[in-house]
Amino acid sequence: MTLSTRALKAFSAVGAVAVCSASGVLVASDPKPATAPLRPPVSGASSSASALVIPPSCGGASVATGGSMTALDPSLVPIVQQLQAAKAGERRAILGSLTPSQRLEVEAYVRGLRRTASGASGVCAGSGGTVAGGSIAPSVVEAPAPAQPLINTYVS
Amino acid sequence: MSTIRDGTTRHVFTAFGGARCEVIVCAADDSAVSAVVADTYAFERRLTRFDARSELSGFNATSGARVAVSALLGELLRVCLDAYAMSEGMVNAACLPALIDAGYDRSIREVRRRPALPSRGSPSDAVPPLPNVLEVGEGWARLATGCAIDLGGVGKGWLADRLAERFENAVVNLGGDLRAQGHGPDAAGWVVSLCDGRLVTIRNAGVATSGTSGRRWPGGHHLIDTRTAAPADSDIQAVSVVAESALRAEILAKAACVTGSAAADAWLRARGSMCHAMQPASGARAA
Repeated sequence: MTLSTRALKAFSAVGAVAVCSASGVLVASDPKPATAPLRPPVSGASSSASALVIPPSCGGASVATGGSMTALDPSLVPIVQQLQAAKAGERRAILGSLTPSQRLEVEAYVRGLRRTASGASGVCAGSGGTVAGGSIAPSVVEAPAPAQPLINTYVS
Repeated sequence: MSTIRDGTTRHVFTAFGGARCEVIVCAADDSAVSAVVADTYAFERRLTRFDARSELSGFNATSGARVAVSALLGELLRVCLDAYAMSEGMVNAACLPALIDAGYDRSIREVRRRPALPSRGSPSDAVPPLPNVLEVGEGWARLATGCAIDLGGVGKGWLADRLAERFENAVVNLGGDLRAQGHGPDAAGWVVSLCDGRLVTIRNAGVATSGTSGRRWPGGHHLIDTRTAAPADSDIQAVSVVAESALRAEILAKAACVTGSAAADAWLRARGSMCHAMQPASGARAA
């Protein structure tokens, strides 16, 4: 038996539609556990959110380009730009013009920018470059015997 | 406010459920100190888990969905992921359901006044790995269904760092997580006492003390062992850590306390502890 070209095309089209429909039904009906992990478990502790972090080459851009990792109220963007350009003594004055909640937003945003720019995690990056009074290396020594503590640390 | 010496003042206030907080500043104006106090209250208001109207409670309530988050919450969620990685899972912000099961279901004042009965399920439960249940993107985050976040000491450590960095010479102490900035009132550093009574002088460093004796109630305490999802059964009562930031010190102190004395010393040295002290659970002091 021979089939015309038109008939062959028709059979092919019908077949393709049937296969796609069946696949769609299978995918839609596939049961998914309600508590499935958002990402598959991976071994090693260094597997934090790095998969979601924009690499420095993409995220190190300025505020104006929107290259940061966290959204910010657009009205605060000029403040961030001022802070980035400010010298140590000027930062407090700029922050002083904001509400408490705005200050927290801006400082969190700037911290995120630094993290992105350095390519390091916020914890590991320390406070480098953020010291208001210039750079002083972190240090600790045993206090002399007669010293009186100014601050007591206690169990939190 | 009290004057410690010329040009150096101490301001004490309470926040984070009654924790003693203090700001010690050298040659800084009162408005800057007021801003520190106001920002601490704003931080607590936005990120407390004890108020259903807070941003954190709203985020926890929408677990399973991708939701918009503020710059502040987004940054802190990333910090939690960093803390998880640094502590090899010992500091896990997804421990909130375990904390509630252990009885810490209201503010510590209320829990102490009227303790709840622990309602733990299977003892083999573990806190789920944070990277498996939390995603953070640009302006959004998603928490797996049924999970919940407690920022805890990580939030306080982060905030102490940010607030202290505004000053040239100051200490911000938020309930045991403190950050010292600058050279101290007489340029000889800031003298801090650790949990074993030892005194250290620090510059531009953070100190945190974590332990089982602080936030404790009949039948439990707030340090969750993420491997069992139950209050840690540690042979250490308290650990003080000095590190480059209050945040790092907090993470290290908490993880070391859960880890136990046998491994804590080497573990801390390998992860950036500049100095640490431990107090055994027996009450005897040990360095």
